[in-house]
Amino acid sequence: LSPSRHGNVPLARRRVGAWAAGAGLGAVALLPAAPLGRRYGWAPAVRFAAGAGAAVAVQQALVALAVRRQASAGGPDGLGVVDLLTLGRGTAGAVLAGLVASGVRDRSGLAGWTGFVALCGGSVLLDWLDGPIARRLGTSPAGAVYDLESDSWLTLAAGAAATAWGGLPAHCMAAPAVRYPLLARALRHLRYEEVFASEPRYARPAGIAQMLLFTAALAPFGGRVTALAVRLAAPVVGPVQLAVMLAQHHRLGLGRARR
Amino acid sequence: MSPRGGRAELTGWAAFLLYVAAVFLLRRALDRR
Repeated sequence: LSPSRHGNVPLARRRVGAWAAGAGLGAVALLPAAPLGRRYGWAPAVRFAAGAGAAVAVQQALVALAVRRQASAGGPDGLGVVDLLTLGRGTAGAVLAGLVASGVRDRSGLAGWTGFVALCGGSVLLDWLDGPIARRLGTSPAGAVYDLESDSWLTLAAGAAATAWGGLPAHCMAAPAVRYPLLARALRHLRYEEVFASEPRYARPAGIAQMLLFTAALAPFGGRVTALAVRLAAPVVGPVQLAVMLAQHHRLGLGRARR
Repeated sequence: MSPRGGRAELTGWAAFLLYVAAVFLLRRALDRR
């Protein structure tokens, strides 16, 4: 198999357009709407569908933009299997955002389990498997952007959910939220790849600790021990992750950077 | 905490850890093949 005009992607040649993919991902994100409607009433289900649907629509609008840029630079004009797996993480974030929008706060019930399954599916299964699958099938030039952005969006949505029904203090949202204004500032001086070119060694454990905290706060089976662990960890993990984000931003040396 | 609640919590975390371990092993297997 020789590399096609789609770049060095010999095995995963099948590609779908950003909007077709969006329809599929949107359908997956909206799957819980019917059971949620039966359990909590139709108004929360409609709010869920609106929130999750809007999140997938915004995601795919941005993806369509990235695909267009990629294609105009000679890259593939669509999304491959690996891209879809990566964007599945964003869809998990959309489910969490939909649940936050629904107004239902039922950690140990259907809504809580829906969010927890979406979180674990996105942050463990899809996150850990898309790397090795990408190494086998190849990825698109924009794959790294989808990867970083899906990660950040899933983290932000998980933080919002953990704050909404996991009993987490609101300050834990600061780190995942501040990432966006910091990125916007960095992009005024650097290219996207340059912003994420090097990551300090402490960033990964801090990020994992934050995701673990969100996971524990959202665990539908969490009891008193889990609640105590969350209560003790939150005042440390939240501010530490915020400090890590600020330190990472400071490391970019934007004051010294060229435009 | 009731013994039942404590057991459910423990079972939940055990299942979660099993799931994480299974995905980890699957990832390693995919990387090796």
